[in-house]
Amino acid sequence: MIVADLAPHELARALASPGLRLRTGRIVTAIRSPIPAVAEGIGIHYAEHPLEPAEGFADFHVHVRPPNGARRFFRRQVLFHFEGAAPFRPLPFEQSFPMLEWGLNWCISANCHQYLILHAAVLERGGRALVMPAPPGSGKSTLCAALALSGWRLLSDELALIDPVSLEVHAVPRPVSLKNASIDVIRSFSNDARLGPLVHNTNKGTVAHMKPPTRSVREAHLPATPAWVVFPRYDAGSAARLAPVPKAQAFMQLVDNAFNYDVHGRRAFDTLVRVVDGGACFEFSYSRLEEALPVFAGLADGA
Amino acid sequence: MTVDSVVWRVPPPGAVAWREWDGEAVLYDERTGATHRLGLAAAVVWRTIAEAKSGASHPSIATSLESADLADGETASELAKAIIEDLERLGLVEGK
Repeated sequence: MIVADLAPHELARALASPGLRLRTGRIVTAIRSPIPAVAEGIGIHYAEHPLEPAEGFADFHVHVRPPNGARRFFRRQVLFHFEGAAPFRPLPFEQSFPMLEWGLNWCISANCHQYLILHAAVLERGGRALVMPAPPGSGKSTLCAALALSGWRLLSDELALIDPVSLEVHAVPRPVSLKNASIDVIRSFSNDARLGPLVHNTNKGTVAHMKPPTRSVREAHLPATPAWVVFPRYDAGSAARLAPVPKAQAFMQLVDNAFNYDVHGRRAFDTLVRVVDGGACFEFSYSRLEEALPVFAGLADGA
Repeated sequence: MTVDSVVWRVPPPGAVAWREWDGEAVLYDERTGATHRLGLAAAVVWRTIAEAKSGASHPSIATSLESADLADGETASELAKAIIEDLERLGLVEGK
């Protein structure tokens, strides 16, 4: 069964109790929420994601709901609960679905230590993974969305889950978070981009999520082997430029983008050495997607 | 003891993992959990000390820098001294 098999009232009922067991790649999250915007967001963005039985195992139990007290009614707010605790401050009620998404990112990055986790977008072509680590504001998500709409399989917009033994990157296909000008850029880039509602005045500005392409969800069980490490940077007005990065520098940038390097210690060092050994490392600056995409097509084709 | 008579050694086997690419190196220190990147000259110094079975002296390290075309004569000697001091401060080499 997938989310789209549920009628809206069934989805809302499952979210109310006992919780929707949503599978994203290898991770199952039990999600509860009485908030219509959360149900709507899940209905849009996770329509093709598999559901697990209600009594089945879940890696995480989360609950997105209004706080107790007056803030249920006046200047309404929303809280993200993880295993019964609320690790974050409340946000305005209108940010309920983004809060679910940000909370799920945190659940994975703070808990899935079977993986070395990088803050990076990951896409796949021919079994080979393109790993794009970058800080917020670098244009990573915009580029990731465009590539995912152009034949690359989306593994993740935010989290590279690297198995330290096999070195495979595991998929956790979830909505791509777009901010501010990127929203219209992607909307006009492709008619296939399915965007959810705009959410204004978040800490990141205006946010909208893009539904992950169908193939990325259906092939979420397929890992990929790192082949390219690309550090993207949006540079207004610049021509697309791909330049090699010294491997020692690339290694340190990967360390900087790792969520749990310290947890793994020597194993993380060895894992990233293997990633850098096995892949080509580049910096990539761009301002126009139309120029950027052929560069990545060239990478995939070995040009 | 003169500077030239000090023998420099890297930590015991297993304490520091390292990998070189294109002359630069990255090191992981198991004892501190710290990761370091060494540029071309520092990587030469590190490799010279790490690969010397009974340790390396300042003159031999300076010679390695000269052989790598990274510095000459007195400049190589001063550069070797400065890098050794940095590595020692980080606990990556020790002299006896």
